[in-house]
Amino acid sequence: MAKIIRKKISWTPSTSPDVEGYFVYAEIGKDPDYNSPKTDVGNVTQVYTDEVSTIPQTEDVIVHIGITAYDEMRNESTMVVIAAPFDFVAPDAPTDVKVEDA
Amino acid sequence: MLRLKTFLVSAALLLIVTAAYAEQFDLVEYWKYTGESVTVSWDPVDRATKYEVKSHRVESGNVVGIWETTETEYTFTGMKGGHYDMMVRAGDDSGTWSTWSVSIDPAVAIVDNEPRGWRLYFHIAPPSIPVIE
Repeated sequence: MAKIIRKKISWTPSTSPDVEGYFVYAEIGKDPDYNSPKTDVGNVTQVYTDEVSTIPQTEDVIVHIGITAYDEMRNESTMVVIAAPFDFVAPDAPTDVKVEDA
Repeated sequence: MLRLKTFLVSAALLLIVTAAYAEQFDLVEYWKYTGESVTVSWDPVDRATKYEVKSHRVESGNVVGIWETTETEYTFTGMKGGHYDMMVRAGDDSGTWSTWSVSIDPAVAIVDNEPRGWRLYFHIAPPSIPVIE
């Protein structure tokens, strides 16, 4: 099995005292909006990419990540967005591995 | 009858006029983050010795608190997310109260020294721009 290096996404929390949690949105090649796929990650300030189902685990793409804070009524803050290259596909394993006399 | 002449919020607030409200109701929305405070003030009323202030949350229709003060301003804190109309009335020593003056009523509310209705919009502050590492 290949080893995939996951990435950590972190943020400074909202200053609003009534925050119940955060949504993480993700889109490939464009900024997300409130209709984009999202994951409720709870009241945390960091997640790893393999914990966010809406981040596509594909090869060599620019993923735009959006974060919003929400309250108990699921009202959401404005979205903060960052784009970054992701590559979740490991190269093919070497083949024909053999041992020869030196 | 006691009557409030003007009713306004602190000029230090960020002023945002949304197209929808401006077109439908000609209301001004003042945007604040939840957790921030906002000071509402009004002109003093002759013979008034006290004032009552309350807010009406538009989304739920609920009245959020009634506070009494002898001042001509009141600072709201701890508001949850949503739109709020603010109301104030004046009272005298005999226990008589005026009718409520409501911030969305341009007959009693002002914006930039002009008669105009307004309301407050408290919304959740966003987190910082995320960092990926």
